[in-house]
Amino acid sequence: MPLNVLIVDDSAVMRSIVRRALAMSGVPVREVRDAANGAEGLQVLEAFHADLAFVDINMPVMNGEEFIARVQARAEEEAMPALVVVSTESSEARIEALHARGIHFIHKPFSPELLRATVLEVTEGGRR
Amino acid sequence: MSVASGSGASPMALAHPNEEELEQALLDAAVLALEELGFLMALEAKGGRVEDDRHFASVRVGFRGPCRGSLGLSLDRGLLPRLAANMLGVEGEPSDALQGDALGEVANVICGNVLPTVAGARAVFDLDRAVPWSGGTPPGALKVRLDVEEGWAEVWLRVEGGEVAGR
Repeated sequence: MPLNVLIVDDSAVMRSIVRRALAMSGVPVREVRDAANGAEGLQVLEAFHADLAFVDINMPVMNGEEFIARVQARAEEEAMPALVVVSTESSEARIEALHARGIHFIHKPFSPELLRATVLEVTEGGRR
Repeated sequence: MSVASGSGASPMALAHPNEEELEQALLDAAVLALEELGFLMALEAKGGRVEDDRHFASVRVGFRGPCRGSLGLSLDRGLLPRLAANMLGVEGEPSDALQGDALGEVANVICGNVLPTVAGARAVFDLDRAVPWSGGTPPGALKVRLDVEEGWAEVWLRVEGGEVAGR
């Protein structure tokens, strides 16, 4: 089933890269929306049901950690998008902590193939 | 080199790479980022650099964790529009803001990829957003230079030993 996707990143260039990699990956997508920080991301989610969200961590206004916490906090009231952190920081400790919270991880730079594999893991393997 | 040690060092937290290991890691991270993110061929430079600052655009990324410091990236101005266009997947010359954004993202990726060599694979760092930089290479920084297509790039890394963020 085609996915609704939200990209939350303060870098317009990185939002474009994720969007393009998604298109090249062959993952069926219905609609992609983006936001420049966590607060904008939450606003988008008010009116847009996202199946999947790609989230940067270091952002102004509201960072990715707070965005994720807020999305997860309201998960019982609303369907929660599967969350994938896209980051340059590849600390094993940080990745393990994310996985423990049901969040997937993609390390930059990434290929469309890696993005596809991650999306398939998220969507076919069920949410952690 | 280069990697300065501060008085608050936390030696257990740092990986203590030698100068050659760190230089190679910096070079590898820069090549990876320029090639895979910017679609620009890059390799270690053999010649001298252009000394005129007007010929390059520079950014700096600060980081904090088991140690703190910063990483700088300078890129030949002639390559900057192409880097941004490649990253955006567009024809033509992106705006100055997008060119700066693109250079900052490359610097951020280089920084994120080199830090595990500095402090080990489990070390957690917080990276700042890249900012324009006109301060040149700081004293004591490790620096590598790359030939990038018909231009060049320089990357420097300055580590201040062992001062844990928030201490």
